[in-house]
Order: sequence, then structure tokens, then C-alpha cells
Amino acid sequence: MNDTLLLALPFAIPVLAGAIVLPFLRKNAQALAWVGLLTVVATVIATFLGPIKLETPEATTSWLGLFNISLALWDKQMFFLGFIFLFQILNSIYLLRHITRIPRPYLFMVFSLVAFGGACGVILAQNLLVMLIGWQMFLIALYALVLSGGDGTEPVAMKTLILGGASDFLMILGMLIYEHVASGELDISAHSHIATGSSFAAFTAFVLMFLGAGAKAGMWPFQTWIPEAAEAMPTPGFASLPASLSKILGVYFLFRICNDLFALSTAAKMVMFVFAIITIFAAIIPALVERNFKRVLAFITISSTGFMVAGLATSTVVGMIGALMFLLTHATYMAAMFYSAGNLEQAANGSTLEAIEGRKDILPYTVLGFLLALTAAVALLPTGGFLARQSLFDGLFESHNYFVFFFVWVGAIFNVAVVLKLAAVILAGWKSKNKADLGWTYVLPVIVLGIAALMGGFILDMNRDVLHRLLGANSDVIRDAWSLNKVSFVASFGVWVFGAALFFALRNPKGPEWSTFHFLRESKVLGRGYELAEEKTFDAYEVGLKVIHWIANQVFWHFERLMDRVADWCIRAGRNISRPALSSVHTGVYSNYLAWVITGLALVSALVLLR
Amino acid sequence: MDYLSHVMWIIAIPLLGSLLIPVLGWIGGKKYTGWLAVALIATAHILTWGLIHQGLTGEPVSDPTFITFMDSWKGCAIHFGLNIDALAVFMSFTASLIATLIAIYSLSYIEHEEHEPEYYFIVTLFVGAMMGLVFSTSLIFIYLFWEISALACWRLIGYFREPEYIWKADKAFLLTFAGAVLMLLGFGLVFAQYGSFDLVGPDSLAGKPIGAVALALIMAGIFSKSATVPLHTWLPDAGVAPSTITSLLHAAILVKIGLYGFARMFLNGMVIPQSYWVWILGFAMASAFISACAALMETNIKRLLAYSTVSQIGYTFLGLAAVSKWGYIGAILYIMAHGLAKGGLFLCAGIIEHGTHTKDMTKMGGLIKKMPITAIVYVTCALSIAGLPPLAGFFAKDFVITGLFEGHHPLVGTMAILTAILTLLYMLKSFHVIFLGQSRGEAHHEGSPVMVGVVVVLAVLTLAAGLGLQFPWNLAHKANEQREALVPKTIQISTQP
Repeated sequence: MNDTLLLALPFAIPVLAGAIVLPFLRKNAQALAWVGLLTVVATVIATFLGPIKLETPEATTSWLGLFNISLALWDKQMFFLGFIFLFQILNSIYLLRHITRIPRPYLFMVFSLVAFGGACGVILAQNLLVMLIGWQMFLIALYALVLSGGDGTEPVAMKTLILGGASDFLMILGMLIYEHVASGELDISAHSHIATGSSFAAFTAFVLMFLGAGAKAGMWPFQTWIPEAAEAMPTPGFASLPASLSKILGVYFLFRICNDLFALSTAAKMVMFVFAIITIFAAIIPALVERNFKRVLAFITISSTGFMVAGLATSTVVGMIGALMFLLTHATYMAAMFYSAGNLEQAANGSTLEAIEGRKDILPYTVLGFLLALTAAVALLPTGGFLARQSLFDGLFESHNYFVFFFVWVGAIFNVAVVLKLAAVILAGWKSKNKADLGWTYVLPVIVLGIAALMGGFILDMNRDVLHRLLGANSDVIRDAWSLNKVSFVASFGVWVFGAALFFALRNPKGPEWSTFHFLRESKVLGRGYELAEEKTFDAYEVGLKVIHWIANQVFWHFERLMDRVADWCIRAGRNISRPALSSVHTGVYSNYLAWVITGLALVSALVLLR
Repeated sequence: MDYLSHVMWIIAIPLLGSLLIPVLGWIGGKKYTGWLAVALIATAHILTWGLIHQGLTGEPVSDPTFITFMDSWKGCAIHFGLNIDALAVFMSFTASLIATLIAIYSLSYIEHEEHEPEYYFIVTLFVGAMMGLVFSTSLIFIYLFWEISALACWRLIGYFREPEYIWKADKAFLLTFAGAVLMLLGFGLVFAQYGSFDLVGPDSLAGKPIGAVALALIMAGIFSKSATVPLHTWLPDAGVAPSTITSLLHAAILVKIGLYGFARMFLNGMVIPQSYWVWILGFAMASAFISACAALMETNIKRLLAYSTVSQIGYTFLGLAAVSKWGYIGAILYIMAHGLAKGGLFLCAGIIEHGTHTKDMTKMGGLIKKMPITAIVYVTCALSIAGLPPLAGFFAKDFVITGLFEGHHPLVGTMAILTAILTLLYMLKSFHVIFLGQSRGEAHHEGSPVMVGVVVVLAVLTLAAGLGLQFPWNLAHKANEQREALVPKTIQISTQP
């Protein structure tokens, strides 16, 4: 088999299964779920039997002479694919029973596989255009998965696709400028390393690509669809896509932009820091008072993007390691938390914090999985979360960005406080007597991911060589990066202490746990801010739509309609003038109409004669 | 049979064969007129397959004096010449394919309407005029076929014969006719300057710079025919015609005639001085943007799709006016991609209108439950127009934008991307309003098997043209090579007014 085709298997198998096999099973939700699981397993097996065994796991096929379909499966791609495979297998197991609870199971399963294929395509791609195609497939799948949540999800689905599509177009624009600046080079592996400070075009290309990739990862101002999707999408859809896969892909591409395509100037770094800090606070402040469990998790996942972007912006090895570890740890614990949220929602018949706190079923294993994930979320030792945060802080110190460090540090404190509030809500339900949990298909993904989150530090440490190759840095540098730095350790310790202190200080010991921080809603400044946020005043999508509609309205009424009126006036005037002549010709006999053509010919003849 | 005779059949079968349709109607075979029309148009399409090998591999075949009407009279000659190159093969193949599918759809759609033979007669004549125009080498015959198509268009837009519809048909005819008369004057000026109407041949106009006045006059004709701002307003009004007709106008023939005429006359013929290109780019960009804004404001499904056509035609003009390899290839591919997708969308609109008895989108909603296949086709075609992969529209649009950057028009390229975002917005909005959410009207039903079958074929072709881009790409690439050989870029960019 052609090497390129072999390498394309992780992309092709799920997409073909989704398109060809599933339509035959559309009426049988259970069969859909089983075929989904088998497809994922088949993809994993095919990847291990096929492309991974290639002597040189890289292939390029020219397509139309336009660009190369370059795919690669070196260990760094395998490292990310491994994560994707793990998430997909667990997600498929979760779906074995949960599929019957999804309002549109067929739509869900087909596009779940398309998203899986698209994600593999993005990881395997060595060419920006191929990567973009994989990404847009992923986006369309995301849109369909939101719609699979049933009636009422349409506005959220539209928002998802419009924001994703708009960011893709920005990325295309950035890529075109990049291609121009890099003299026609679209191959990521070429390591063009264009200095963003070398020209305005290079800087513009960077900013546009950064925004496009950041949008995928859920960066401000493109993040507003995520909390809404968390509510609208079926739980496994959100857990596997916005909470994990889409973030992995977005930050992976951000990393490649910062590491492989551009050499960042100070201005470029500043842009990244600004977006990072805004992203952290634009998410974590509403998370404090949010009353829907899934939306709180969505806000946490958004704010984590800010931490990752900050790490990448340091342009130091340690900062980038921090960002990548943050990404992988975050994807793991967030997926675990989302599955837990799905289970709790099912037990409580609702996803509000009140409902979950007052539920009758304890769900011991689900809660255990959540708590395991929580250890990584609050970055306790020896989780990957700890290593990630430690590296991130080190990176900020090493690059002398103390001001940025302060904001990131404060953001981390708020994060810990919010996660502790969720833990308190869940544990409050412990008082009830029914100790039953949901079936094993629901529990297994939570527990496995919870353990993976807890063990993340060890897993990442075992893959140090991969990180070394990813960053092109010496593995000693990486080892040094993970050695305990006193300042950053104190800073990390401070996050735990202040985070916990914030939570306990502001907690109402006599009231329900969900009401923690709710006094903020009553405050004059923040309260008004929350009101405006709920009215979507700060929502870039809503604001953008209003602006676009205003422009469209002006253009339509003041230009387009005006032109139509002028055209109508001219035609009416012409008709009135020519009516007598026309009415004699307009008899309904075809031959008369042919006279028009002959008139034209006569005019030409006249011109010929005149010549 | 040589290629030139082959092409004569492609033109003659629909053009002359159309005359048989009213005859068949008069002798009592009214119900067979549709089948005859389908047979004539499909035969023309099948014959275009025989040209593909030549289009892909050979040099252009042309005979500017295939039929001589007037030879050496006062130093002038009028010939009907034929030219077979990759561009002509591409256009004839695409237009006849879409027209064939529309004719098949009409069998079910139009069967209960009055004046069926007349409908099929004019549709077939319309296709014949398109085929004639595509292969003509002489400006005079381009004009002749141009006007036949205008007459056909006028009659078809006013098909339902209500006073309002006739007014809109008159509007379309008068606007395009006025443009065509100006274009004819432009041809006259060109003839006065160079003494030839031929675009190929030893004394042809190829590579000769055109003057500003002649260019402006000819462009008026092209813009009016291709419904480019500010001469576009007839196209949204033409939505009063049956959906098959609007589909034919938007997807297969009418507006594409303007684009083809521009590509034939100015990218494979006369040379536009460099400083004038910016004006053409400006008009194209304004057309793409203004009509995208209008589409966003529309609630009438056919008017929305019509504004979308104006916008996408502007896009195609941008590709052509970029005067770059990717721009040209992108524009040609976009003619096909837009044709397939817009054909599908209008025919879906026909099914929706049949099922709901309204064009007002605000009275629809939730149709996906009653019309699932139509819904899937609609969203597939809409996403292709919006430029999402792996559909055909993505590649074509991407090439056009790349061409704009390649042609050193970054600002226009940026505007084109912003317009693409608007396109995504209004296309998605229309899908949501029509097919998703709560039903806001009476009970609906899916279209007839023939109608649904045709739209499914169009959606599949939209997908296939993206996944199997190789075939259209090869033709478009060859067309670009032939263009560059005929009118080298050095001439195009160095010619000054």
C-alpha cells in the first residue's frame, strides 16, 4: 500500500465508517455505539500494525501540483495520537449505554467518528493546508454534535460553526500571508522560522494564525460558544471534543506556530500575553458565580487556555513544556470531570449546582474519579498539573515577565477556589443514603481518566524524550526544568494556600455549598458586570452579529435598494417612452422577438458599411 | 468525425432540436415534450464528453471561418468560427450537465403547469444558445447567442404571466438588453480599431489592447448579463420564475455567460491595460460584498439565493480579474462549484416551495423532519458555497483568494475573506431558519422521487468535485496554460492605456 495511504488510515477509517457503515444502523442506537467502539479499536490496531511500522513514517504525495499531502507519524505525533486514542476509546465505552439518552444518536455517532478522523488528520498533517482541511472537518463535526443534543440546540450550533468558521478564515488569511512571506512554503516541517519582527506582513500573519488556532483552543474572544455548548451538547460529545480534543488540537497548532513557524518578537509575545490574561479572567470570574455545573467546567476549560497561551508566549523551553503539559493534563482531568458531571446530572436529573448538591444517589466511583481529577486540577504533587504549573511559572520567571506572572498566579488561585467549590458541592451529596452508582460503562472512563490525571506527572516524565524532540531541546534541559525551583515552588504552594483560603473564607458555612461566592452578584461593580455578561453584552459573537447586521442593513437600504430603485425608474421611464413601439412588436409571436436579434445584426452591418 | 463537426452537433442538437418541441406539442404529444427536451439536452451533454480528451491533452482546435456568411464585402468578412479549447470544453461540459439535471427535475416540477411545450422549447433553446456562445470565435456570434439567451430568459422569467411577473421579466430583459446594446457598440469600436471580430485566427484580436471606451461599453454588457453590481437588480427579481428556471439562470447558463464572455474576450483575447484592472476588481469586490449584505437581510429564500449568486459571481470575477494563475484556475473551478451547489440550492428551494407554498423563510422552520433529504442536500450545497472542505467550493474559493494574493491584491483578498465569513453566516442562517427549530407552517412533504433524486445527484457531485478535484482541476489548469500561451502575462501586465 502507498505510504501516504497507510499513514492516512487513522483519518480514513473513522471517516469511512461514519459515512458508509453507520447509515445502515441508523435505527439501532445500541448498534451504533458498538460500531463506534469497534471503529476506534480498529483505527488503533490499524495504526499500530500499519503506519507505525513504516521504516520512515513520513510520506508526501503531490496533489494537483498545488501542495503536498505530507503526513508523518513520528513519535511526537504518536504521543498526541495516543492521547486521542485513549479519549476516544473511553468515550466509546461511555457511549455504550449513554447513547440511548442522546436525542439524535445517529447524528451524534456519525459526526463523532468524523471528528475523530479529523483530529487524527490534524495531528498527522505536515502541511498547513492539509491541517486546515482536517480542522474544518472537525468543525463541521462539532456543529453536528451540538445539534445532536436535540431541539433548542440550533442557536448554539450556529454560534459554534460561525465562530469556528470565522476563525478559520482568519487562519487562512494568515496562512496566505505566511506563504507570501515564507516564499511559497506551507510545509510545517520546513521550519521556516519567520521572525515576527522582520516585517509588518510577518507580524500580521502571526497574529491571524494565532487568533485562528487560539479560537480552536477556546481563547478569548472566540470562547463564548463553549459554556453554551457544554449545556447543549450530550456529555460524551463535550467531554471528547471541546473539553479535550479541540483543545489538544488548538494548543498543538499554537505550539507549532510559536515553535516551528515563527520566531516571536517582543510585540508578538505581548499580544499573546494580553490574550492569555484576558482569557483567564474572562472565564474564571463568571465561573465563580455560575450555577450550572457543566458551565462551570466549561469556564475552567476556557481559563486553562489562557495559562497555556501564557506558557507558549514565554518562548522558553520550560514555559513551552509547561504549556504542553498543562494541555495534556488539563485534557485528561477535564474529560474525567465532564464524564463525572454527566453521571451526576443523570443522578440528579439536572445539571444545576443545587440539583447536584441535593441529589439522592451518592455515585461513589464517579465522585472518586472526580476527586482524582481534582488533584491534577488544583496541581497537587505528583500530578502532571503540578509539573505543568511549576514549569509555567518557571518560564515566566526565566523570561522576566513578572507582571504577567502576577496575573497568571492570581488566575490560578481563582481556579483552585472554583474547583474546590465544585468538590464541596459534590461531596455535600455524600450525606444521602443511596450508595449506588451508574453502570460500569459510565464509571470506567471517569476512573481511568482520574487515575491518568493523578499519574500525569509520571506519564509525562516517561515521555521526556518525546518532549525533547518536540521542543528540539536537550533532555537535560527538560530534566532541569522539572527540578524544583524554590521561587516557583513557593508560588505554586501559594496558589494552593490562597486558593483554599479564598474558598473557605468566602464560603457560607450555614448555607448550601453552591451559594459560595454568590454574594459577588450583589456587589455594585461585579454585580452589574455579571448582569451585562448575562445579557451577552461582552459576547464577541453577539456583538459581532449586531455590527454585521448594522453594516448589512446600511448597505442594503442605502446602496442595494437605492440601485434597484434607480434601475426601476430607468426601466419604467424607458418603457413609457418605448411602449408604443414595443407594443407593436410584443405580440406573442416568436418570430417578432427574433427581430430583436436581427436589429442587432443590422446595427453591426451598418457599422461594417460605415467602415 | 472531426472535432469541429462534433461541436456543431453539440450546438445544433439543442438549438435546432428545440424547434421540434412546439411541433410535438401541437400534434398532441404535449406530455412527451419534456422527455424530448431532456433527450436533446442530454445528447448535447454526452457529446461534450467526446471533447474532454482533446481539452485535456491537445492544443486548441479552431477554425474561424467554419461557415462564411460574408466574405470580402467592402473589405469585411463575417464568419461563424468555432474554437475548442480547455475553457470551452469545461464550460460546455459543466453547463450542459447542470442543464440536463434541471431538465430531468422539470419533468416532475413543471408537469402540472400550463404551456409545458413552450417551457421546454425555450429551455432547450437556452441551452443551445449557451453552447453556441461557448464555442464561437466571433464577437458577432457571441452577441447573437447572447441575445437569444436574453430572449429566452425574458420569456422564462415571465412564465407565470401575472402582471407583476411580466414586469420583472421585462426588467431583466431590458437591463440585459441595454447592456448588450452597449456591448455591441463596444464591439463596433473594437472593429473600427482593428478591423476584426475574431478572437482567434491570423488577424484576430488576441493580444491587442482595448481602449477605455470600448472596454467600458463591453463591460456594461458583461456586468448586466452576469448580474454584477450595479446592474444586478434584475436577478433577485427573477426569482418569480419557476425554481427550475431560476436554477438554470443562476447555476447553469445565464449569469455564467457574462463570466465566460469576460474570460473569453479579455483573458483569452483582447488585452485590458493594467491600470483598468483595478476598476474591474473594485466592481467585483463591491458586488461580492454588497450582495452578501443584502442576502443577510433577505427573508425570501429565492431572493436570498439570488443575492448569494450575485455575491459569488463577484467572487468569480475577482479570480478572473486577479490575472494570476491561481485566480484564473480558481475562477473556472468556482464556475463549476457554484453551478453545482447553487443548482442544488435552487432546486431544493423548488421542493420547499412545493411543500410549503411559500418562499418566506420566516413561515418555515423544522422542515428537516418532513424533508430530511432536501435538508441534507441544502446544507451540503450551502456549505460548499460558504467554502468549507472537502466540498468543491472550498478549493475554488481558496484558489481565488490565493490568486488575489498572488496577483498582489492583499486588501481585496482580505475583503474577500470577510465576505466569505458573511457567506457562511447567511447560508447557515437560511438553513437554520428553514430546516431547524420549530415548525411554523402547515404540514409539509418531501419532493417527488425525481426531484429529490436530482438534488441528491447535485449534492453528490458537489462532494465528488471536491474529493475528486483532479478531473476539473486538469481542465482548468490546461485552460490556464492555453491562456498564458495565447496572451502572455508580460503583455497583460505591461500594457498601458
